[in-house]
Amino acid sequence: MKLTRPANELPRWRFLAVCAALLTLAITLLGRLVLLQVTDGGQGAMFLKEQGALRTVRTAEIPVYRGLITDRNGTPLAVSSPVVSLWANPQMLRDSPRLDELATLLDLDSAVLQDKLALYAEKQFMYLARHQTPDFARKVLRENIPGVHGEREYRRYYPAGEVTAQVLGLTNVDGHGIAGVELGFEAWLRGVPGKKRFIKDLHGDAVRDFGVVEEPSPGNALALSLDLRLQYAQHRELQRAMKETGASAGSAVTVDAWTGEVLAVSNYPVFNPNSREALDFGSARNRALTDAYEPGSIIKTLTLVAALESGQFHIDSLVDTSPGRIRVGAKVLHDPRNYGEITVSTIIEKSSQVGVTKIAQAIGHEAILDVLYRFGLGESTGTGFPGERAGRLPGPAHWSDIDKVTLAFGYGLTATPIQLARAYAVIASGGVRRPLTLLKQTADTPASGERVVDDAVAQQVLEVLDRVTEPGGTATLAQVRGFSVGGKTGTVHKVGQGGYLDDQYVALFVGIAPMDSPRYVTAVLIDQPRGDHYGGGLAAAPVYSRITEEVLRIRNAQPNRAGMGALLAVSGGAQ
Amino acid sequence: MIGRASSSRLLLLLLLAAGAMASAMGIVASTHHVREGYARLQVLELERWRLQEQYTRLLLETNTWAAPHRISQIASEQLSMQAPDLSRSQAVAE
Repeated sequence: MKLTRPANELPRWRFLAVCAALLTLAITLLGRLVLLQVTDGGQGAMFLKEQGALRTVRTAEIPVYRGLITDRNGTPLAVSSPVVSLWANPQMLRDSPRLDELATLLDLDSAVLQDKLALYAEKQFMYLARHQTPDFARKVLRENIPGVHGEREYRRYYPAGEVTAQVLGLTNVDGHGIAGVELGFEAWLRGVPGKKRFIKDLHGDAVRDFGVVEEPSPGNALALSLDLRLQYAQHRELQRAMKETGASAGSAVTVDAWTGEVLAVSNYPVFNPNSREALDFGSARNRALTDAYEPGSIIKTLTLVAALESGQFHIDSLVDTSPGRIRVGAKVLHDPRNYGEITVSTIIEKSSQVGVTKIAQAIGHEAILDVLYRFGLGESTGTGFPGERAGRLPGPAHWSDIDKVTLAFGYGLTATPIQLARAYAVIASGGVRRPLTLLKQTADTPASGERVVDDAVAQQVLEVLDRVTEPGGTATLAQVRGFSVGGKTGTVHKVGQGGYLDDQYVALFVGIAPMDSPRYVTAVLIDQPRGDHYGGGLAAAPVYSRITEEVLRIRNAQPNRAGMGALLAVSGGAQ
Repeated sequence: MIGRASSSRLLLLLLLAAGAMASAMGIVASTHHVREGYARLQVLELERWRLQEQYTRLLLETNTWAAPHRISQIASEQLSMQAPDLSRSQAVAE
């Protein structure tokens, strides 16, 4: 039988062609599928996953607390406290019938809330109220108003308030340090927020959690060198002095010359770090570190160091200061009265301009400038405090005759109160210069430092400073009962338009205590004291005395025998 | 011959099927455990947050009560205390 193709049968090639076409389509589809699911071309698997994730997977930050700042005894000075920020999705809240209810809950005017919603109408996020107490936030969130959410955050509280305000500085609303220690040690204090991932549904609620992607690591604790009790006492005394003298500003700083630790530092005016509404950045400044003044007679002590080092003078060398005035260039410098022939020691005790001028002319300004450099003037004290100023020493450029002598009594250069405290700390520690620190040091023994002056010279200077507070000196009001203290006063004319002002002063006192074991150095600066008590000896020395009394009491210094009751022998106590 | 070969293959198939089933159940169980664990974690995290809240509140409270100016005020005003005058103090030999 002959195979004959039926008339209606299609040619074989057409069948094959259809097969091939269908196969091509299938292969194309498969290829595309492989391309999308397996390989990672431009629009491949990864791209699709990312696009999917973009629409559903959210990464949330796990908030971490900022490191606790404490004083040297562990008393908290800055604490991060959990708070809740209330936020809303304006697009969901806009037409909510419960808007008035929400406004009442938040203690807002309904119209204000409406305006705010209108402003953020295009957005999906807006803050309703930041940093609310958890209790309050819970109350609001319990109402379950659609579109209202809470976000956990931390807020910084400063338990000591204005007493430590300028040292600690501030953080901004997002918890980053913006001033003071908070800024200076930002990297140490700041925690690294963790991250967690979750899938959200249409309403933005988490439906599935992938868990923690990055573990949060909280900030580190920081122990400052400050002693809060001392800080408080210093703050109180400075405030009192401001009230009594009517001064416009003031600073006090106490350092431990052995360790270089700053034990207390306070300033006026002050501010309340727990209330930002009325923040004035002028009062936020830590003036003791950031404001440089002409130090005036405070520098005479360093001139004395240069004089003793020159070998031309001893503390008992006689200098003739009569007739109580001396002409330098076009200027005539006066003493309050004619002291006649007096010793170098008496020149410092009486703060005699004529005497210091004669010493300066004898030893030359280079020697004095050298001492100023060695005592750390014109350079930072090493605290690392943001905005700390290094003051200014005159350059080598041009020295007129008057410049050469005014340097010896502290004009023509600037220094911050803390620099002056550090310079006197060099004398207190027998000629060793140490960097200052705001951090608690572990050892209570003298820190390593750089010897810049002979111990013998430092001891002689201490002897002279001791006499300044004795009867006959310029600073008898600096005395502290039961202890011998030493120091130097300074009264500086303020600079205004057209030169030095006759009626505006800066009163200074820098002192060392106790003299039998010099350790604590306190600098007090009163800017523009009013009335008759404008001088360093009358305005600043009493403040020094009251602060130092607290320093010695709080630091358990041993009073000297004079003025004390009988020595009480404890039987069996010393065996 | 053929029967034995096919029965051994059947056995293998059954074994594999059972294994697949077991691993599927295992996945279900472990997913459940993860969920439970995660729920517990969230409860604990909430607890931690609450405790931290309380801790800082108490810390601040303690410090408010123990603030130096409050202490000195109470000491001098309510308890009539004062720092002893130096003439009334005695040095104790160590």
